[in-house]
Amino acid sequence: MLKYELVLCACIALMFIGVTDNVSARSDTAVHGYARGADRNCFDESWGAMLNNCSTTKQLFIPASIDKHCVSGSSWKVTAQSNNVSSNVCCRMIGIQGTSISAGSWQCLPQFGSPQQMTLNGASVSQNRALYVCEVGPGAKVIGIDWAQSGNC
Amino acid sequence: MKTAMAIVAWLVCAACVYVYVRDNARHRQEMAEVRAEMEAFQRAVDHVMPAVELRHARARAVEATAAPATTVSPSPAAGAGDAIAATDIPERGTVLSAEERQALSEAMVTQAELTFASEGIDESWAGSTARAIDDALSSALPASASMYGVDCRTSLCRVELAFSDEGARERFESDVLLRSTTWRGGLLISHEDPASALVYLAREGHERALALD
Repeated sequence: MLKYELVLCACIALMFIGVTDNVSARSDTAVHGYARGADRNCFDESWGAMLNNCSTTKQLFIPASIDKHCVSGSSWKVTAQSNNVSSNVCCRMIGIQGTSISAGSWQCLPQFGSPQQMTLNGASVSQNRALYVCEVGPGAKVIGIDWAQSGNC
Repeated sequence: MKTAMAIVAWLVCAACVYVYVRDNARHRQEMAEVRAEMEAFQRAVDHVMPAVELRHARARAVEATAAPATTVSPSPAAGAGDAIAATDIPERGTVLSAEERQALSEAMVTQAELTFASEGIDESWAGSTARAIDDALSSALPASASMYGVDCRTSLCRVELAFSDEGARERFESDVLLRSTTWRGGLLISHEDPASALVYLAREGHERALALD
């Protein structure tokens, strides 16, 4: 019986070690966002946010710095705003490592009329380079990005 | 009086036997449950071990090529298990080399393939999804490209694409696979050679099937 208690205590201790592992959290404005070709003229900067002034949906690519010593775990968030249900903002996260590319699922704004933060699902291991890609509807804007890597940070 | 005492004694004995039999049955049941849990755990370990062993093997291969400062060498007296432990866990603050990143990338692809290969087929999803992917890619691929067998299981689909050159592959991935919102779930694209792509598509909400950890 004592053996089981010791194992249980060890598991609980390991759980706490896992929880208290360092996390490298970062955030940035969307002003680093890049649009392709003529779409570049559609985006205006506004206090770090990137606003789509065109009448159709445009894509914006926003890079995220990677701390290469973080080997596992990550969370990716985007803050965006649209005041119109028919003009959404949908984003996904893309990671590039070695000879493979991974992309998370698309997430769209859950509500309209105020800044909303979306959590993106993405492959969480070993991104060498990472970027967000967002579909920005007319009049909508991407305000900023937040991301955190964990593991051996 | 004697008869009454005998009856009481029999009753006590019967109660003892009843308690013994009941506790024994409960004990057997608990043991059976523990045994079943252990067997389930063993099955889970057996399922995961090929991927873990592969990852360890890749880590050991990486160690052989990595710079000495970025790895921890096992002592000469250490056994095989110690060698795995020493090389599989990068030191805190150690920047992973390009080779280590590449090895992790390959491990992700291997994990996706193992997951895909071990999945059963969700009949309500797999067939219609495979046809939809086939239709969508057929209309989007350049004329010079080829597509080999779209196969869907429960949480993943898999398709192989071949292009005329690296530039055509990159354009298709960038313009269609990564930018299109038609497929809402996650993707993992692997390049065995510059002009081909092995693509795993995760069912929406099943992105964990593409993650190593």
